[in-house]
This record gives sequence, structure tokens and C-alpha cells, in this order.
Amino acid sequence: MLKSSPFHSRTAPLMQADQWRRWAGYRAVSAYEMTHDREYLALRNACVLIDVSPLCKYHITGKDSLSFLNRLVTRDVSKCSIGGMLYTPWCNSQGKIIDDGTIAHLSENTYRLTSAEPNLRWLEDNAIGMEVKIQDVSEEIAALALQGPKSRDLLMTLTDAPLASLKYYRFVNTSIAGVPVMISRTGYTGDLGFEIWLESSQASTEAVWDALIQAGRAFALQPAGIWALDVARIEAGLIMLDIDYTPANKAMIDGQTSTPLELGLDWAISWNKGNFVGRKALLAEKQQGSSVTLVGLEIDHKEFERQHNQLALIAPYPFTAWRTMLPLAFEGKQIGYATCGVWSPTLKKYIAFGHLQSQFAINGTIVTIDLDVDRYRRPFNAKVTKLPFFNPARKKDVL
Amino acid sequence: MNNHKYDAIVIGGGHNGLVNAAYLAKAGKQVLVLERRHTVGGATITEEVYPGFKYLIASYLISLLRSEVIQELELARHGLEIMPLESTFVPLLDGNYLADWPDHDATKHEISRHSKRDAEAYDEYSRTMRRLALAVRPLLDLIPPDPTSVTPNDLATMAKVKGTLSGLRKDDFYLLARLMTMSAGDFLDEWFESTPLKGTKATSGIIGTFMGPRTPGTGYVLLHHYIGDIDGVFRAWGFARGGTGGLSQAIASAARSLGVEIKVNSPVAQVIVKNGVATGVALENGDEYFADIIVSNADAKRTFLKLVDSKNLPDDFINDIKRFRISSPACKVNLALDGLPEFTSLPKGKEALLRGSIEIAPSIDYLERAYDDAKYGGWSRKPFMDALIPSLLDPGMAPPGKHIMSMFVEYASSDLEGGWNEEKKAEFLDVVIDTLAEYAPNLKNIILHKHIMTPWDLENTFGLTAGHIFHGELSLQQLFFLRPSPQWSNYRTPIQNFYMCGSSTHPGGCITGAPGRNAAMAILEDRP
Amino acid sequence: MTTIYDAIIIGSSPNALTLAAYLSKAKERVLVIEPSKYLGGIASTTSFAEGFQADLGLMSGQLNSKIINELSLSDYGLEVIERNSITSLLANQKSFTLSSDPKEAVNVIQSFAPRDAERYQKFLELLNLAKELLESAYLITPLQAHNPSVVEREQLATLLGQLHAYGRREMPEVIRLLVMSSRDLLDEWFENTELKGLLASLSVRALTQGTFASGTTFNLLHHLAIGDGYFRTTAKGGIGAICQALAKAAKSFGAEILTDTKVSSIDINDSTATGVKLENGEIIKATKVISDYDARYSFTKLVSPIDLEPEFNREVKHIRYKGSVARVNLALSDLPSFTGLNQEALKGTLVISPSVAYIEKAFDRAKYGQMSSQPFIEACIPSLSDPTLAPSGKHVMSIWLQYVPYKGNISQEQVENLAITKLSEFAPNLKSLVLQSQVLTPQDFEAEFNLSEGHLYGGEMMLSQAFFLRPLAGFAQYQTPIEKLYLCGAATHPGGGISGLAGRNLANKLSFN
Repeated sequence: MLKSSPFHSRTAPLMQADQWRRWAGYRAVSAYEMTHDREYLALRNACVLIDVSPLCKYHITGKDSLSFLNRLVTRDVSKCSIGGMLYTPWCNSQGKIIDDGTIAHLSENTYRLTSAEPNLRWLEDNAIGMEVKIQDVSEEIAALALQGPKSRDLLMTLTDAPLASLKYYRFVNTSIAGVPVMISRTGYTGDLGFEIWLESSQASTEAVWDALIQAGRAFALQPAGIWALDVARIEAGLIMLDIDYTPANKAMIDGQTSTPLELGLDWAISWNKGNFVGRKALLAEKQQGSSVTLVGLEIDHKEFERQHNQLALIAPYPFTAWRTMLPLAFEGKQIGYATCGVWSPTLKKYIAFGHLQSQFAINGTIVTIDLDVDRYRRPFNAKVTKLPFFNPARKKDVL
Repeated sequence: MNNHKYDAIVIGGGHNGLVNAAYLAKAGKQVLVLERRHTVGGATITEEVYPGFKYLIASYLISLLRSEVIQELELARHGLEIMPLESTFVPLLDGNYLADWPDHDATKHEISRHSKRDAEAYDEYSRTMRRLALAVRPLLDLIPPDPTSVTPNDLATMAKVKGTLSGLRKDDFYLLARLMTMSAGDFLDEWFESTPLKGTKATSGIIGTFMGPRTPGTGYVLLHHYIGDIDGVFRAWGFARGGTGGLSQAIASAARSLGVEIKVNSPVAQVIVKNGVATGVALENGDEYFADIIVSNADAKRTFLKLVDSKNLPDDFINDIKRFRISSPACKVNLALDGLPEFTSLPKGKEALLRGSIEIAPSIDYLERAYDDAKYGGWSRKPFMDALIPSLLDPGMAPPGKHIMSMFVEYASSDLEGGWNEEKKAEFLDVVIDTLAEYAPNLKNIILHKHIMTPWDLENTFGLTAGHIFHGELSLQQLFFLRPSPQWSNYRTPIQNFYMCGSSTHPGGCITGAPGRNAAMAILEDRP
Repeated sequence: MTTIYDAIIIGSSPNALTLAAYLSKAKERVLVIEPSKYLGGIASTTSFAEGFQADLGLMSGQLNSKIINELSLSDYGLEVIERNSITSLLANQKSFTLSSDPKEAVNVIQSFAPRDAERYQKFLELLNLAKELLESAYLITPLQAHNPSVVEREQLATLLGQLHAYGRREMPEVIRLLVMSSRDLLDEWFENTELKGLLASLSVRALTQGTFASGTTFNLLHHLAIGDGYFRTTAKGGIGAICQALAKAAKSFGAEILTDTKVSSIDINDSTATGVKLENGEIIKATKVISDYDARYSFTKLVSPIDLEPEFNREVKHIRYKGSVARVNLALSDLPSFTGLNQEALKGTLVISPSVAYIEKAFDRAKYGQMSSQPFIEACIPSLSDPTLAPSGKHVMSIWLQYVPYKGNISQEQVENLAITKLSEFAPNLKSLVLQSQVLTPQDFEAEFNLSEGHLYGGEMMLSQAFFLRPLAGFAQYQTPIEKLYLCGAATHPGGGISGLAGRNLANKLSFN
């Protein structure tokens, strides 16, 4: 039996087409409505409420918590003051990425780490010899993502917290409907947005959910599922574990692993903070150059349409993101593979992520991707572009 | 006096004998299989000991059957259907339980009730074991090389072995080296902290093996049991419709369709050897059959100490066979039940777990103590059990509404102090039932009939020396090129034209069919 | 200007001192730092009662003859004392004594097990083949098994050549020996329970395994290969004299040796060892640092796990130590009278190991953290061959007792009582002769000598922790993840005992570099 999210009593009645999916052992919503179109549109134009409770969460406390985290992750956690958060990947000692997530500096020597996959064992192994306590609080903490241009306006009707000035990747502690919550200016959509963290008791989750829905009526708030989120995160150039990379501890062979450098996360590596797990290997890779690079791809949908039209067919639009590995070729030879792709309703482009041999990972390079036209597979051009595809100013702005 | 001349005679219609016969027939040989019992299958059989109930009186699960054998002998066409056993249920006396489901999330959820850390480690453990099993598996299909030899065949095989091992990832290579010589218990301690999880995982290290989970060497046995797969799922166990007997019937049917002649009720008394060459066999009733190839499916001790006159064998070889360790800790218990056992710790809504295997293995210490009780010639006061209710998978196994429960039980020594007899059998059967009843209190009220096969019975019924289902311990000094004897691990014997194809040869026990198939390859190398 | 040593060696076991001697002989500037006040650590001989001297931990062993010769140790006072017999103490005060001379031993066995007597010599010959193979393997650094270098391949080929040369029959026999349990081995060769019991004793020495465990034959062979077999060789003045001779040699070559000086950590700069920090805060610099300690102590206490990779730390956590040897030394007012034993027999080793199952049963309890009331014991009265160890007319008895599981928290008193009670079954007057005693349990060995879980051999001598897997897979060539930091103790190949070979192998490796 799959686990139910702490918001299940509220989310389940909204489900119109039984579109549940799995997420880390939980039952999660793909889309509440029959299609996710409105959910996506609300995300980019109004605001959406997404249940992200299945995220793994750990409390890190103790004298050595900072040095522990700084040893664990690639970014410099000492730069994260209390009230701040940061996004970071972490690696094994070969520099291969294990997971990525956020770290919130809650108070003196107290941090919260979120991750896509359970990491308790790896965290404990990294804590050998340190005075640090690691607590798995995944089930104790519920989380909602309130994302979209109107999310701030909505939230400001529910709390007096200084959200207007709350900067990107900062958080405040406040309350909603009498329930203590932590609100962080974070998200997985590349848009203006917040994440709301609270204890997972049913009373709390229902009170907060109801208050948001109630207040949200004035802001066209739409509960949304993973499908809408997936479109947004691809537009925003945000990678996803298991889709865009295989965590090193899950890889069957070395060839399946990735490094933060290959994934374009060089900005998330602090070379000067002292030693961290994987530093040596990553430094060597940095000096030699990565053999593979993650890029954005714009697939030639015009040609895709043309070929369909030639057959008197209407070209399909991939409104739901696909997550299959598709070969990418250059002059007929495979030089990489795509990991996900979707039609971006905002950009009106067919976009995808690709892992390319680095010599082809140059903006403007045209590679080909195989897509089905009628019942046959044909190559289509895809242009290498920089990530993200979409990065609105409102993501980081303050009032 | 029958003087019909066959190309090959296989002594013993166990699954390996049948597989061997089928492959020889497939290569165009005229093959005769001689089975001492009234039915083929050897220990791989199903019998209706109690009317209406089909007991699995010896082997009971299939996993390691090489898919090559299924494909090449077209066993599906001959009625073989394997139903995967989907789950493992480990009841505990404190009211809790552990379960392994076919679904990854579900299993993880069950484990995390005991330890979140273990739930994570479990994924990595499973992947690691799969990788190691994958690396070792090709070795199963090899005719073991003679490391002292420099013949092209042996050198080529050794190169193959070396290639297999050096292709491993560095960390896997070292892990494999360690695992081979470690105890299953120590190995699992490295991975997990939860007591019942370690208990149930450790059982793979002791099945069919007279060693405790803390005995070095059980690490290899653990891996051995991971080598099996059903449709690519490693460490999957399956149940053949109609019981393991269904499997034997399918192989027999395949063999017959290839022209193999099978004679039951034909116990062989002696292999006829003339001038160091095997020429035929003599039955207990005096009938004689002759052929160019004689193959024994019996275990090594039975083959060379009973079926062959020792004057035909070199002393060193006889010594090797005498020292070959065959001492068995395993019993089979079958219960005819009026209903289903009710396990106190089985939560409502999870009754599906009864369709899988039910393991009484609450901890490594429990298993180790079970071993301690038995290893000096006794039996476990609290035995390890791996139980199955086949009638839930295949309703034909018991009358409607009734069930059979078939249990693999360890440890009860084949060398029981004072020897086995009917009273001792009954006594141990009570120990088994009392132990199980602690977990399922209604058990005693629903038992219609009970039946135990001790090592003594397995020996008497099937001619397995010491009742050993694996025809000899899977201890390190009896593996690969050392099984059953250093110079004679390639299915050949010191007697010309005489071969072995049973589980005393590489890769050993379990229903793999590999010894039978490999032996056929060796025979066909000599006599294409 | 502070001194920068070429090498600092932390610890002073025979391995450490051997290394110190070789390095200083090669003109390196060497400093040996021993935390305890005893040179040699657990391989020292100390006074535990007025006028009485006894070995502290290890109570037998000898340096490899190559080391004795190359370092001319006899010039530095080393005198080997061979013990020539072992006596099996049996129920009802019966016993039998086997001489180190096989012919004499055969005669004795003849008297109670004639069929076994016929096979004894052949048995020793087979053991000898395996022993010789191990001796060759012990003289070289283990290969990187996963990806051996050209030189390593050649070395391996030489070893395989030696194995091949044993012949088609013997080669697989030797391979089998390595993986067998001693129970299986002895069952194959002999019938007599008592003989098998005595011969099995060596297979579990210093090991927390029973005789039924695969690989116990390897432990037996290991002891033969390091010259510490059944007969428990020692040196004049006790085991400590070996270290004294090595120390003298090393000092004569210029090495400096500090005792009673505690190292608090190894100084590491950018993943490279640069020296050591003493407990008093003083830092001593060196271009390389060698730890004589086991891997767990070295990589949790001397080096912070923070300076090591998490994967490595995980492996360190998995090393099996599980010490279960306790040592008891008794100061005796007179020679105890063992029923039926003459003085010659008492000069040898007395063993309580009446059967293979007896040992296994003693081990059974240890698995669950308990001490069996029927322990495996080896005892010597070294003062009989070496009067310097006790005042005239008085004697020292050294007792080796298994299994006293580390995790059992068994008290010194319990161990002492058990040892005396058990031995009194054979020497009824023993208890009345005890003047003073010294007991060291695994807990004591850990507390006083920093041996992880009190293991005298720096980690169990099992196949999964031997050769290219010792102390850790991938780090079996005396190197560590920290540049310029090496291990040289019993934790490394070839493992426990006094042979000094790890020190010699590392010296070879360092000078080759």
C-alpha cells in the first residue's frame, strides 16, 4: 500500500480522473483535473498549490553540523546565514552525484536538508567522527509549494510576515490559520513562489490547506499535480533525480553516473571552502573538462508538423513531459541522449534536456533526435541552447 | 535378459538425470533412463501421501533452474508453468512482522518500520547482490577447468573465469572476494541493523547447508541463492504448478519427446566395468543394459562407493569421495490443513502474504542457535522454517477449502546421535509444529495429517546419501574445480565412458539443471 | 630549526622496530614513538610481581630468519628458545605429549591411535607445502588483485609456479587447505578425537571462530608460516627480548626511540601526513608517518574520519576485530605438579583442547557474548627454560585463554578464576602456589594498548581479511588514503604475530620507491 500524504484528506476529493502516481512511496497527484492544462496555466499566470510532502527531510543538529554539511555538499554552507536556504547537489568520493536538494539554516547549529531520495544512511556515514545528530523528519513535516506570479499576493493576505521583502532563497517563520509555518521563497518551477513547511498533523495540514484555498479564490489559485510541475521545471532548466541523472548509489555501472559539472551545476561547487566529498575528483574533472554536458534542446516542431501535414495528419503536441531516453545524433552517429522533453506552452517551443558529448554541447549546434511520425521513426533537428529556457524576473524580485 | 544396446544410460531419473538424458537425446543419442522409484523426479517430486493432498516431500521451490534449460528443452510446451512466489512473510513473536513484497515501495515501507536506514541500504544491497550474481552466473554454465592442467580446453576455461572476474567493478571485485569467504551473518551486519531483516536475509546462506549463518563460507551460499532468476528477477523463487513434481514431469515429457526411454522401478545395483571402461549397468533384479555412455545422476558417494566396484577406482579418488562432505541438516514437513493457519502477527489486509514464503527466521542469533543445537548430532529446539502454502497458488494441491503447508526445516542432523527412528521423527515433527504454533496458534487445531521427511527418510526414499538435497555441502573446499574431487570436476570419472551429472558436481544443488546440462556438454565433447 | 624526520613510526611492535631498523640502516632519520611505557606494546615482557617477569600479550613467536640475519640480531642479544613439545591435557588427568620431532610424535600417537600414527607424517608434509607457499607470499607486498601491475603479475606467476611444482595431486590439496575448516581437515586425516582436538588448537589461536568455520585451517597455516606453530617458540628473556634486540639494532643504526609518549593525532596537510602531534601539544615533523596500530585506531583516533572519505570510513567500520583472547600470568611459589607430566613436558606448551567439538563449544558461548566454563587454554611455564624470569625456585606461568569475548565485558577476576579452576583439574596444587597474578582481557588490551576490540592481531586472521584484503581492500599495500601515511602493524599483510615481515615488506617498498 502506498503512503498517503498528510494533505490526502483534502487532495483526494479534488481528484477528477484518478490520476495518481508514485512519488517516493507516496500516492501523489499527476493532475487533479482531467488534463493538467489549467493547472500549468495557473502556475505561470496566477498561482498553484502543489503538495510536495513526499520530499525527504532531515534535521541536522549539533556542534559539527556546519562542518558536516560542508563536508557533505558541494556548496559552501557557511555562506548560508540563519533564515537562508541554498540549493546544492552532493556526491560520493568519486565526484558522482548522489542527490540534490535544499539546506535551510533554521537556527544556530540547526539545519534542514531536503532530498529527493532517502539519504539517512549516506548522511550517517558522512557523520562518522563528528558531533552531529541526524534525524529523519520526512514524515513529521508536511510541505506545500505555492507557486506562480500571484503567490505572494495570496500569501500576504494570510500572514503579516514580511513576504514583500523576502528574498529568493530566504525564509520566515510565521503562522497561517493559527498553525506555525515556515515560508521559504523557494520552488521547483522557476517562477515566483514559496514553499510552506509545517508539522504534518491532520489538524494543521487541513487548516493551512483550507486557508490557502479559501484565500486563493481571489487569486485564481489552482491545486496542481506533478504534470504541471514537470512542464515548469523543464522550462526552468531544473534537473530531476532518476530522470536527468542516476544517483551514484543507484547506478548499476559507473557509466550511468553523472557529476555536477556534467549537469551544469559548476556554479554550485565551492572550490575554496575546504575539502568536501568528491572534491578531488571534481577538481580533476574541472581541469580536464567534462566528457558529457547537459544542454537544453529546441526541437524543430515546425518540421515535425510539416511532415505530419504531408501525411494529412495533425502533429501531436507533447503537453505532458516525456521521460524516456531518446538517442541524439550528429551526422547520423549517436553523440548523446535526451532525458525529458515537453511542449512549452509559454515559449511555444518543443524543449528537451540532452546529455551530449561535450564537443557538441555548444550553443547553436544542430543535433538530431528521433521522433515518431505516424508509425515511423524519423530524425528531427534539435538546436543546442543554454538552460534555463524560461527565467522570469519575478522569480527573484522583491517588492 | 535384455541386451538392447543404447548409446547412453542415465542412472537415476532426478531432474538433472532427465535434463542430461534430454540433451544427449537432442544430440541424437539413444538414451535410457533407469529410475529406482515408481516415478521420475528423484527428490523433485510431488506425492499424495494423504488422500487428496499433494505433498512436496522433498524439493519445493524453483528459482535456479537455468532459463537455458527451459528454452532449449522447450519445457513450457511440456507443461512447465512456474508461478513466482511474490512475497516473504517473517512473523515475529512480539506481534510485529517483516515482509518482502514484489513491489519496491511496499518492501521499503515494511523495512522502514524496522529501520529507515535499512530500507535505504536494502536497495543498494539488492543491486549489489544482483551485480555480483550476474558476474558469477556465467561460471555456472562452465565445465570446471582443472587448474593443474595445461590442455587448451582447461586453459580456455580458466581464461574465461579470469575474464569474468576482471571485468568486475573494482569495489565489486573486492566485495566478491570477501563475500566468498565470509559468513552470511558478518556480511549482513555490514549492511543492516534490523534484527528480523538480517534474520530473513541470512536464510539464503544456510538453506541446504549444515553451517550456521555465522559460519564463514555461508557468504558464498548466500550468493549461490541469488544467482537464480525468474524472468530477470534475481533471488526470485517460483513454484511449479503441480509442485516440483510438475517440473520433473515436464522434463520427462521433453526427454521422451526427444526419444528418451524411461524405465521406472528399475533400481541399478552396479555399473558394469570392463578393463577400466564402463559398458553397462546391472539392475537389482539381474537385468543388464549396455551402452557406450553411462551417466550417474546419483550423488558422488552413492555412485562411487556403492554402484561401482572400488577395484576400478584409484585409491586417491576413493579417498576424495569418502571425504566429500555430505551431512545434511534439512527436513521436509508437510501438513494437511483443514483451513488456513492464522498468524498472530499478520495484519488484516495483508493476507496475500500467505501466498508467498513464510519464514520462521526472526534473527541471525535464532538461526545460529538452531545450528548450535544441531551441529553436534542433534536438532534445533527452535528450528528455522521456510514454509509455503502451495494450495493457495495451485488449488489442485488440496481438496477445496483445505490446504497443504509444505515446510523446509533446519536443522536436524543426518548424523543424529543414536540414529534416527520413528519415535525421534515424531518427536522432531512435534518440535516443528510446536514452534510454528507459537506464531500461528490455531495450527494444531487444523492439522488433518502431518508428515516429515528427515535426512534419514530422504536417504531411504531417494537414495540421497545422508539425505542431502544438494548431494554434498556447498562448502568452499567442495566447489567448482574441487567438486566432487579435484581432478574429476569436469563430469568425467576415472572410469572411461562413465560420467556424473548430479548435484555432487559443479555447480551443486538446487533445481538448476546445470549439472545435467554441463555434463551433457562434456559427454558430447568426448563422444560427439 | 626543528628536526624533520624521514620517518616517524607510531608504536613499537616487532613490525615497527623492524621497519625502524631497516630504514635507519638505509640512513633514514627515524623516530619511534611508543605510547606505553613498554617497548613492544603487547609484545613486551614486564615485571608483574617482585622478581617475576612475564610476556604481556603475545606469548610466543619469532622474527623471520631473514630479518634476524639481515639485521644480525644475534649480535644484539637475541637468543631464540625453542619449546619442544605440546601436551594435551585430557579428562581424568590423562594427557599425551607430542614432540616437535615427528618421529617421536609418531611413536606417541602409535600408542593410542595407530592408524592416525601412520598418517601423521604425511599430514605434516602437506601442511608444510601450504606453509611454504604462505612463507613465499608473506615475503612480498600483496598485489592489487583487481588490476595487478606487471611486476605483481610476475610475482603472482612465481607463487603459482611454486604451487604448480607441488604436483597435480598436491596443488589442489593445498588450495583446499586454505579454505577449509580445521574440523573438515582433521576429519579427513585422523580418527582419534583427542589427537584431532590437539591439532585443531592452533587453528583458532587468536581467532574468534570455532573449529567448524571455513578458513580456520588458514589460521593454522598462518601460524606455521610465521614460525609460531604448535610449539610456541620464544626468546631468552621473554618475547620482550625480541623487541629489545630490534631496538638495540635500530638505535645502533641511528634510530631514536621514545617510550611513554602519547601521540594524539597525525598531522595532515592537504591529504598528506606531515608529522605527529603529541598529547602535550608538541608537533614533530616528518616526511612520512607510519602507524603500527590497527586500521580502526589509526583511522578513527590518529586520523580524524573527517579527513577520510565516507566510503572508506564505512569500510573501516566493517573490519572484524572481536578480540577474545585473555592473558593470565601467575607468579608461583613453586612448580605446579601436573599429574603424569614430567619436567620436560612442562617446559613445552600445555594445551586444553581435548576435541574439535570442545573448542567449537567454547566458541558457541562467545558468539552470544558469554565465556564458556570450558575454555580453550594454552599455558607455558617459561621460567623452566629461562630462570631469569622468576626468583630461584619460583616460577611463572603464562596462560592464553579463549574465548573471552570483547563484547561480553567479562571481568579480570572471572577470567583468572576460570583459568586457575580449569588448570587445577590437572594440577590440583596450582591454586595454593599463586603468589600474584596479572590478567588482561580484550577490554584491557583495548584500554591500555589501543588495540581495537582488544584484538591482538590487529583484526581477525580470516581469509576475508587476508592478503590483498588486509587491512582493507584496495589498501593492502601498506599505503593509506592519506599520502605519506603508511600502516606497518599486524593489521597489514601478513597479519598477526611477531614475524616482523610487515615491517620488512614496507621497508622494501619504501626503499624501492
